[in-house]
Amino acid sequence: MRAGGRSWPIAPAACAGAIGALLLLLLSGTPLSVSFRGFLTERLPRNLAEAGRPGGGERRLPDPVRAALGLLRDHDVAAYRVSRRLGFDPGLWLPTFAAAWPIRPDEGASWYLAFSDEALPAGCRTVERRAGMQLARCP
Amino acid sequence: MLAALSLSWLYVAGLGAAPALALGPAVPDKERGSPHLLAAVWSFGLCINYALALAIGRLGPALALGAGLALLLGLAALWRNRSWLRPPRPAGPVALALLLLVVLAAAILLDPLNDWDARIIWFFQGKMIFFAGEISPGIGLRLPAVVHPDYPKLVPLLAAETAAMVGFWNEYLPKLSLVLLLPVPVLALLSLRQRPLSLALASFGFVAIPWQFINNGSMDGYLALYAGAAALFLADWLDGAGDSALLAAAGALGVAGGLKLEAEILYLAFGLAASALLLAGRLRLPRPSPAALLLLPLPFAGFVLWRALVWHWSLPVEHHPLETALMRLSQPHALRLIAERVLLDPRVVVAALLAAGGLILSRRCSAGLPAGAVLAVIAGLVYLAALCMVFLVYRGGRDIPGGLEMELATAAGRLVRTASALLLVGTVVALREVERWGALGRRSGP
Repeated sequence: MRAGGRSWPIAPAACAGAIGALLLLLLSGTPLSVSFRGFLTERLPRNLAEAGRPGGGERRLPDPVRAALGLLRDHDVAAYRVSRRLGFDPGLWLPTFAAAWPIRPDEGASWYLAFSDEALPAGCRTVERRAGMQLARCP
Repeated sequence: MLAALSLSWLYVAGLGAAPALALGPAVPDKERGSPHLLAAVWSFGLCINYALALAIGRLGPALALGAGLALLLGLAALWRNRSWLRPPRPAGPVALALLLLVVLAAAILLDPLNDWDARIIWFFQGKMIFFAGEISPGIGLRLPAVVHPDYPKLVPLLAAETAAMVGFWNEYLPKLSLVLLLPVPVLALLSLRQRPLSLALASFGFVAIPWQFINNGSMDGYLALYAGAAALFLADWLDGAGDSALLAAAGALGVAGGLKLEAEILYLAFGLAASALLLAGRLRLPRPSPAALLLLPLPFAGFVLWRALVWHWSLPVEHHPLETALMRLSQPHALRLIAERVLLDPRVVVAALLAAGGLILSRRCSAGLPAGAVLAVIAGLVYLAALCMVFLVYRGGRDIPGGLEMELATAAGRLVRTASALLLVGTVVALREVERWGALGRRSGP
């Protein structure tokens, strides 16, 4: 833009204005600024770090699913079967099944995944309990 | 990892170079480097990659062949059209579109999967393909816990290919498959860059209609975006934009066929709307060149191939008998529920009101209704009617009290977005006509 023959530095002024507005927003203490600060200082660095890692982002899974996943992985399980109660709870079973893949469900497997408070089939013994889930070994 | 992710852009563009190669010097000056041609190239790239992966079955060989083809086709297209090549000078709307693309890509890639359908259906099937290194019934598609194994695999295959390139699976990087879907809708918006009001309305609609589905990994938002883009490209073709607009529309419809089964309803909607307009003498189809006619079926190869594989592999498919519809037709409560959730969804109501306003305005303030606007609006209405039929025959929950209500509550709000996008594009095309006449009026004034 030209005024009286002098050119106004629009782009630097717009950048300075935008940076000023961003600083004001960050320091204002409103819920929006707190959330934005949280995004810049916590969520963004965490996501950047996790995005380049195998299995990154699994923190969004429900706690029991993460517990089941930890049990299956920590014991190097290749195939497992689940209790009837867990199998009839699609809200937990389907995310567990999807997250654990390529660890496969198999009716003939000796590893048995169930809720912590469930009675085990005869001959099975609990190997580990974690956050409401248990992993058992069956003959 | 970054190299692998960056190469994916060249891979898709190279694979899709067929339209630029085939049309070549026949493309008029105004169409060279136009959003239509670029959208055709990009959507053809996505569709050819889908068809290749399905035809070959194994990820490694499919990617290797795809990369070879991309290099060959890309270089050949560049050489054949070397007279068009100019240094890029992104300015104004183009720069804004690039910025939008970068912001959306960052938002998608830096947010891990969270949506139920994305985790259980689309990206889980991608994970199965990645770990098996192939797509076949033996990878576990027939396991009882696998939900909807018959759903199209364009995005699961792209996600698996991304993971194969970086060498591992996580909840972020396979979402590059969603980022690769963004250019076509953005290019559809760019095709409106000469008409600011239409561009503003379309930009708002293209974000507001899919909204959380741009990022969360479910396909409903992208189906809506691709339906809208296809309707816009078809309107441009009917308006004389040439073969590149027709190929862009075909490409967008081809990608839609790889996203969700509802694309079949979309094809039906466009088919019925075009047939009705042709029969009524309200539609005159421009004559495509032989090269364009030859390329036209190519984007649908993956769609056809996947339907054939589902049948050949005997994958479980949902059947919804007509007797359910007959039963529900005698239940006023069910009919009221379907009408409420499908026809009175706020996105549908707003889009329908806008479409009615746009068509009336266009009729009064320009030479008449543009055929592309009427085509999009009729297709949107047919889509809505077909959705009502789908819920009438939907078998799930037939014997469960509140089953239909639950299904409508979880699905209707997602599925109507495609109809809303079609209605919105009808409005945009009508408004564009009004803007054009306004501009002409000003130009011809004193």
